[in-house]
Amino acid sequence: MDQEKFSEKEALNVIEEMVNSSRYKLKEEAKYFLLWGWMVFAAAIIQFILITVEVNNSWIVWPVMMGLAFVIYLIMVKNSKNDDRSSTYVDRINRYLWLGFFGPLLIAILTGIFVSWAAAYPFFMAIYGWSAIVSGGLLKFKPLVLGGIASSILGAATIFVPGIYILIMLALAILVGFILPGHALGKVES
Amino acid sequence: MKELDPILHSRLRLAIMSLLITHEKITFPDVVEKTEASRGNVSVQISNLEEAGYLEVTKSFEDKKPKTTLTITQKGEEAMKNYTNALKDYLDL
Repeated sequence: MDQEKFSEKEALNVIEEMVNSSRYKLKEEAKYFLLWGWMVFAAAIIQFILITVEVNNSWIVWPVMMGLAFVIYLIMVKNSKNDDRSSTYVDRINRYLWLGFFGPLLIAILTGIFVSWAAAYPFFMAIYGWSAIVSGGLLKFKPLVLGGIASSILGAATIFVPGIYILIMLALAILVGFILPGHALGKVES
Repeated sequence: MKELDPILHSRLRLAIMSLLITHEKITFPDVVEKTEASRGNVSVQISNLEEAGYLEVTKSFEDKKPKTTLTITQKGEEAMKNYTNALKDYLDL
């Protein structure tokens, strides 16, 4: 054991410095936010256009786009080798938050299929919003918290929006809740 | 007044343990980068902390390169808790 001595004040500074140096993988997170954000945004806008020009079975855009997003997501996860790197407790909580997000998402999809898509969309926006608020809080990243709040408010407003304009509300919610904070997140160092 | 744990009351060992408090796991190169100490010195202090039972070292291979990952033990967590409590007493916080 070395016999180095240093003061109690210095010891406190060392602890503080090391704890503050624990960078949460903001850039790593940003690419996933942007992937899902842009894919959902594009799907909503494409379906809106298809319905407007009276194309049948426009819903097909969703399984196609989300399936594609999922394949890209799996490739990105595989390439990042995240499990082999250092990982903070915040990283872990954040990982499980988004893993848990798939449960309510599945219920919202089933509600859309078996009950009504008009009823499912506000719920989609609310759960996106809720996850973004929690994730933004964990990462100490205010734009994501604000985006999540905006997404939730848009979700509530969507209850009163008629017909296909619900898709525009969804695209707007994704833009403010995911895409804009995702681009801002990518520019942050730590 | 409680005595400060001599194993932890060293700049580099305390820095390593402080990193482990916020990480569920941390790699050796990350410890070297964050502490800004030499690889040799970090390696020696990790061995000392491992000997004290404060951390666990896992060695594996990634793309045929050796990889060392550190995790804090329950004993290490307790030691850090006691150390910070003692530090508060010393600094009258």
